[in-house]
Amino acid sequence: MQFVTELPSTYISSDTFQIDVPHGLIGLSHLRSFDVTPAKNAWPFVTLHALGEDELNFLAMEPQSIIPDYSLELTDYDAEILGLTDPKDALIYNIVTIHPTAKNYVTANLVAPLVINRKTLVAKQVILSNSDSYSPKHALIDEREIAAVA
Amino acid sequence: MLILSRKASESIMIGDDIEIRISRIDSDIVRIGIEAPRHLPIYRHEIYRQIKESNLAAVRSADAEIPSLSISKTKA
Repeated sequence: MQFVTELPSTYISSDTFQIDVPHGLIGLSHLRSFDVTPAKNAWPFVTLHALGEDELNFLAMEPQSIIPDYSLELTDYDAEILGLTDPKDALIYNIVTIHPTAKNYVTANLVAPLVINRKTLVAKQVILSNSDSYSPKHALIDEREIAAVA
Repeated sequence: MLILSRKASESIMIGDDIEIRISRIDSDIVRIGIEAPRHLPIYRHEIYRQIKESNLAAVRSADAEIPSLSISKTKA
């Protein structure tokens, strides 16, 4: 299934909503339920808070307008698991890493986005079938770095 | 590790529910078909490892600062 980048705004509300991730995150398969909270005054970021015993936190972002020409190809298998038949039903988030070793080095994982069926709030971290086109460490420009250079 | 020899179109069962079929063999590339219960995700190993490392690196504290992005500059 081909997903276009011209998706409607992914925020379904400005409030926290809960998603179920039956397979968990990749390599962290015990994390199967998250609170998603749009970051206040910090579009396009959302925070992901894992519910359950291991309350890990993540930062993610919606890729619309940020990653030009980001085109997602889901495998039929993943689309079926998500119950997605229409790309408009999908919310897409990319998990963001703030690297402690390099100041202001912030990257987004474009290879394995979190895809959410907005109708059912069932989600899966999928590996795109066109994963070769993207980096798991896509560098985002941080304003503070620009200010520091200027 | 258990090593088995298989020809094209032959398969292997893992338990009652998982079938791994050698779909086609073209010189050094083997195409594999997998039938498995839906609760078991299936990944290519090298990508699995890469994404697992990326997910582990992305774990942050709940009150960590959120970076500010300049959208226009990012797009440029």
